[in-house]
Amino acid sequence: MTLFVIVQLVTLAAATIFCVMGWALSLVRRRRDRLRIDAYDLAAQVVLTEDHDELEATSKQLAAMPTAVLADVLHELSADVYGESRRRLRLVADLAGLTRKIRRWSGRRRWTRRIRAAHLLMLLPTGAGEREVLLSDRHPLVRARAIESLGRAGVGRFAPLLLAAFDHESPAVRSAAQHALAQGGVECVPPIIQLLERLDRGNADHRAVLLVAEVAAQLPDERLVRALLRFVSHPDSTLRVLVAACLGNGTMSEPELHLTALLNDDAPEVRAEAARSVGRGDVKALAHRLGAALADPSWHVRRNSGAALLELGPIGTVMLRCHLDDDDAFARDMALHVLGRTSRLADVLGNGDRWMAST
Amino acid sequence: MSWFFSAAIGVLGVVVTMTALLQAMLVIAAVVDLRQSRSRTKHRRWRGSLASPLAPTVTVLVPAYNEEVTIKESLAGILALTYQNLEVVVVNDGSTDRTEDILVAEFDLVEVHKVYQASLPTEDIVRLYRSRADPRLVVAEKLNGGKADALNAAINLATGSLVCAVDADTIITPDSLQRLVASFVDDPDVVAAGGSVRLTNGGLLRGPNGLQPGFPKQIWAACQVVEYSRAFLIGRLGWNQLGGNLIVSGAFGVFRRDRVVEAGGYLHGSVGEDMELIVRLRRVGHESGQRAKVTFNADPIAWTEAPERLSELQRQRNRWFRGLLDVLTRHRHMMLRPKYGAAGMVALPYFVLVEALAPVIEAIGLILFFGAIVFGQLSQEQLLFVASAYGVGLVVSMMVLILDEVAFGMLSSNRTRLRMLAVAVVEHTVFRPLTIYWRLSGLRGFVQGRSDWGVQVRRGFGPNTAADSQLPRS
Repeated sequence: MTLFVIVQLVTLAAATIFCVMGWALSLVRRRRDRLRIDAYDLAAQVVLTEDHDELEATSKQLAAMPTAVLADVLHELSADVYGESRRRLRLVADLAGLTRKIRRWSGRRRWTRRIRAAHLLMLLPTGAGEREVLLSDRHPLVRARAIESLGRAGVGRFAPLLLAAFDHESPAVRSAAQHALAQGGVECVPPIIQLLERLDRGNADHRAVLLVAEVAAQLPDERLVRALLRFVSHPDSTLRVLVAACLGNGTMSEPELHLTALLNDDAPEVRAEAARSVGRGDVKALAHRLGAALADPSWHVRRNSGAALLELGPIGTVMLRCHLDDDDAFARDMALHVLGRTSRLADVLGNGDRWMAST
Repeated sequence: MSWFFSAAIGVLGVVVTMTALLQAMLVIAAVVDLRQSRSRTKHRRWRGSLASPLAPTVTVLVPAYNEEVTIKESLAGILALTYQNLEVVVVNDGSTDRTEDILVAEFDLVEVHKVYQASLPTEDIVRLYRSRADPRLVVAEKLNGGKADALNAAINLATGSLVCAVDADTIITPDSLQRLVASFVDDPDVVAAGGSVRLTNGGLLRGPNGLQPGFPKQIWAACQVVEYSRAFLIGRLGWNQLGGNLIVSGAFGVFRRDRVVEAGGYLHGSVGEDMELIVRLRRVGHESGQRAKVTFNADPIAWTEAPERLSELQRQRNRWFRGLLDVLTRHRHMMLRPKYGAAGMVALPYFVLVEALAPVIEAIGLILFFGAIVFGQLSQEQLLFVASAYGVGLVVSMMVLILDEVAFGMLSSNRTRLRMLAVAVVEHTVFRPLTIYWRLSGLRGFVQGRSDWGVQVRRGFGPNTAADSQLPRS
């Protein structure tokens, strides 16, 4: 009986806690949602105007709001404003006291506090020392989130620090650095080139080379293409794939020579990427080579060649049309599949010669 | 005779109490995991994350069978996801209703010549479509082969390095993919990641950015709301801390494509194909020396529809239990072997004892319990003992409800909370014994070698669905 009574009392207590806590939390959440809407309106209004008096008055109102609401709202807004508006946003964060809190969190012993500061890095003024502190934080997640929060302008300024992160043992840090640099601008190019040269000369960790090369392949800059070309005959096919990828970004004036070599590579993944780059880079001179690749033994090469021919426009479509009668079944199939996607297959098949003459 | 009934009642009480206490431990582990994950993601802005060209391409796999009621809204929700590098492959598994017609009409599909790489064996694909309206969408019409077969066919058509399996009646929140894909980007050892699944029964959906659930009026759907909270908070989140996650819901999970193909894809002939794949991924990972982590993230939410009729529920639970027994039998050699890590040493034994054996023992115990009442062999002490044992289970359910409310705050009013409490009692005292009885029939089906799915009836999502709103495409 005692056990039964105890269990019933505990159940009742749990039920009461559930109801009371749920009610209290729902009140808090509703208030927070209302405040969030008000804070958003206030902040958006002042960020988009140039009235300094209004800015100060609004910042005082925002300072009275809970920190969590203020941080969420300003953080959300920071994604959609640039230039002068962002500068005003940061001023609002400063006048509302949020900047002081972020600075305090960035120096805390507990990483759960520092990571909050890392997420809100974008709200700190340009040149704030806390950025460098968080970008070099000992906890990998804090460092990774700080990198993620840098923003495009920050990526350029801190490119050397991000490149150094490629040696970090944590995959979260390495991938954050990669993703940030892949969205960076021209300021990232010289340090990446220097690093590529240094890695190529020395006995560098192969993983770091791959990480840098992956980033370089994504940035549309001819200097990076030329820097990557040193790996065009590298024994590692992954690097050759990256070289093939960067040749498709359209910055190199005559990539045909290198792409032709890569289309003849032994590794199918290299040939596949080279085919893709022919399409992306609109290298019409290699249309015939892509046509031949429709019969490649590798499925990925055939698929990418077909898609690339479609991207080349009329000349690619003509090439596909020619391969509808190919002796090779794979080539015929792929040509038929790709042309079908253009919804012009019936037209091409039915009026083949007239259509070809018109193009 | 009385000693026999006493022994049976004692065993019943002990089994029920031990099950509840083990689940309580998982609740505590869930609390720890939730705190850690909240600390990691507080203020993180998901909208702009993974927006670089290096972000992995994700192919969403949508197996469909007779989904004419829900396919349009579900697919519209998937195409509205904010993840940038996205592809969607729908495999219509020989539906006998208007699923194909609806897809062709609503998504401007044009038939293309069938060309794909068959990495995994499947039934033949009869027709292949691409969408003129949205180039990310591919639809395949194939001969009926079951859900596992449809998923494998979708994997064959996929080009992404990650694949996300969803059910055709599932709606996913817009930034949910970023939240799951982040697990893979941050940790290359992760092979599978699951998200939380909640129920739309009785819910009012206000478009992809503002999904607000209502509490179902129908009692069995309401019981399942409680049950799903417990299953996801205990069954998945708790196991994160222990490294023993063995299930990623078929309604919403992301996998590394190359590891799935290497493991042989989804298993034909298994009705527990989602759990079977995870266990196999872990087994293959351990045997080949590659780490294979499986994680669960409570934040990305998928919404799905639960059966409301007892007959449909029975078929579903029957199938789930057969699936569980099938998986445990196929992978029994992993049990209690250190080579297989937490999966073999902790998780599989837990599933055998708590999920497979305990319900059977409890069912037998309950039958004998009621027999004791009928034959007048039950004393007051024994009755109170059994009541206390079930009371402990109810306390665990309350703990889960408290955790759910604190962490996610899905309930909108005090009235709903009180209803939830009442439903929790009904769920524990009526619904749970029913599921135990269905599991027994599942056991019988398993012994007889059944591997069918039964018939599922879709009701749709109701008014104000995601598809009715202006779906933004970012």
